[in-house]
Amino acid sequence: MSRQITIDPVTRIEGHAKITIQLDDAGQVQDAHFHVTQYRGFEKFCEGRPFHEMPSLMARTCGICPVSHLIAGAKACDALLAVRVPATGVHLRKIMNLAQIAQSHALSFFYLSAPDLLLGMDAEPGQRNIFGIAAANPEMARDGVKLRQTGQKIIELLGGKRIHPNWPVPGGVSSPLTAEKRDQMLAMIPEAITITRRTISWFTSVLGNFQPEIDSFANFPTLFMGLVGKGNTLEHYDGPIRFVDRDRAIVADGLKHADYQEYIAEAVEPHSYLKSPFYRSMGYPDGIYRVGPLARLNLVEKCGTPLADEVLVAFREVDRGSSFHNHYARLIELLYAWEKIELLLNEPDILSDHVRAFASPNNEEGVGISEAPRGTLIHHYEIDRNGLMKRANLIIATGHNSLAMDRGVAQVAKRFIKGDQITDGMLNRVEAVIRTYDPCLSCSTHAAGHMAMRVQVLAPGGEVLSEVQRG
Amino acid sequence: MILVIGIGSPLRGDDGVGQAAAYELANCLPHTDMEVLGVHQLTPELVEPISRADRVIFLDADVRQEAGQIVTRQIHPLDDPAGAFSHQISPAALLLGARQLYGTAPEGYLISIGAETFAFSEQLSARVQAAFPDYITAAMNLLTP
Repeated sequence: MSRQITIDPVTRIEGHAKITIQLDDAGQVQDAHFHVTQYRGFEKFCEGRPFHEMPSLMARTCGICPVSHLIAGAKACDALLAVRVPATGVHLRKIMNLAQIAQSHALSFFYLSAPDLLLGMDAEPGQRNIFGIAAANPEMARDGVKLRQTGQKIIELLGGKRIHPNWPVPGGVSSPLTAEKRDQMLAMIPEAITITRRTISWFTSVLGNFQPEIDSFANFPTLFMGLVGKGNTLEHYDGPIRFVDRDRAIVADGLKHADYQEYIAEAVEPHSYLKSPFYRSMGYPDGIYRVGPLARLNLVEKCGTPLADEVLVAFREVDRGSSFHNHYARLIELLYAWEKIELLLNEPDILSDHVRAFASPNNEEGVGISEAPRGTLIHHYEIDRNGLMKRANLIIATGHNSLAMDRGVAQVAKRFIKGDQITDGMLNRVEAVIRTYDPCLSCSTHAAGHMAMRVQVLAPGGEVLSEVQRG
Repeated sequence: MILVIGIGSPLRGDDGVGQAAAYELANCLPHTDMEVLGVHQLTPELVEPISRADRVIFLDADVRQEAGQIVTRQIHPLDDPAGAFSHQISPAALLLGARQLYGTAPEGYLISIGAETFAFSEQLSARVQAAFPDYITAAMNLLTP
């Protein structure tokens, strides 16, 4: 008789989910699934709204990465207007997007994942939080606080507030940068770089302790997708889409944003509100691909900033197929973000007051794509002749990773769970594979609701043999 | 320096009373050695500004109190922050974090006011609005170290 384990809710992720693990008669893991059980319907309730409200409306999808939605939404509106955003407007949007990525990566690494990395996957659950980090390594906790503050401060200086700054607008940004604010931002960068380099040194020093997790945390062949910048460098704002395989060989390149439905299709699974996009020409589910920090580094030859490129050399030696290395890639992107922000702030035209282009709608459809912390973010809007929204389609970074997370849960469950005696360390590893993707489930399902984590081990007949409830 | 932290969403009716009171204090007393923060929720990075303060005053709505009822209580660093997460941190856990990370935790107070409705609105309910001047007075009484 088979049995099922349910982890409900999955903890230390953004949003709410559950995991079910099916055991066979011999007590071995037969299958496992990652379920996202929230639903919100953002795409539906925006219908009929004026298109220019979309960036700020869609930003409400998420309190962690509102800036990412603002950027993608503003870009979709740029396409509706058919305007070219002034160069300074582009630079300023890029700075805000990178600050968003930096603060989110700091949250993911220091607040959500560092408890496992510093204290161990089998540490006392009550200690696996930011206060456990503070007790064990106060400097690391202070570093996390400082990096998150720095990213948030940059967003606040640009947009007037940390969360939901209505500053990226259709055609550019709403106001130019002052010299005083630029200097404030520049003054913060050196310390942020020092802290990030220290963190990378620490992380690489403990990497060897996690070989079982590296081997089993969603370590399988998939495609990787994301934006690519000029000179084959990291890019988070614009640039064509590229797909590569596990060996980093290019599968498709130079793909246009407006054509995304030609190469991405979306499937729906009955067990989750999270859609499962796939690479259309390979079909479902063979067209599984991943996005996010690991994918972005797998796509490009180099980061494009000196310090990040230095650490990229060692990164190239790790197993590029393991999602565990999202942590490593996240730290490299964090370093890149500070360097790139500094470069952009030193652009000669950064204080120009020409930051926005104005127009009435010239197109009835617009697609905006940018890179959010967790991966590629797609906003697609259709409007009527009065500029009112007829239809919206959002594909969120976490959605792209849906298939890989599902398979990753099964892989790690098979590796670490044996029989109906479940230890917390086993359950934590099942959650931790999800955590490597830093999923934002509220975003990806455009969802509402609340879910804590419950893990159930179910017998072949469906009866609950063992259960752990959190939240 | 006195740090005033107003907690809640200004878009959810009485939940916005903490932020409204914090900014009202900043308007009334612009020359006081006071720093004011309005936040939707408490997050770990608040431990840094808290560690720099001589006193921290948290202003928040409380659904467990009668609408408009004002309660002032002193809070102390929480000894056991088990379960603390980026989405759910108490004032007492933040005081503990300030002490753990920066070696000092200021005197802390939570002034809560009973809330009637958290429905979508940028307005306070009539009972909370009526009690708002007393809420400001309660906070002002704590502004002298």
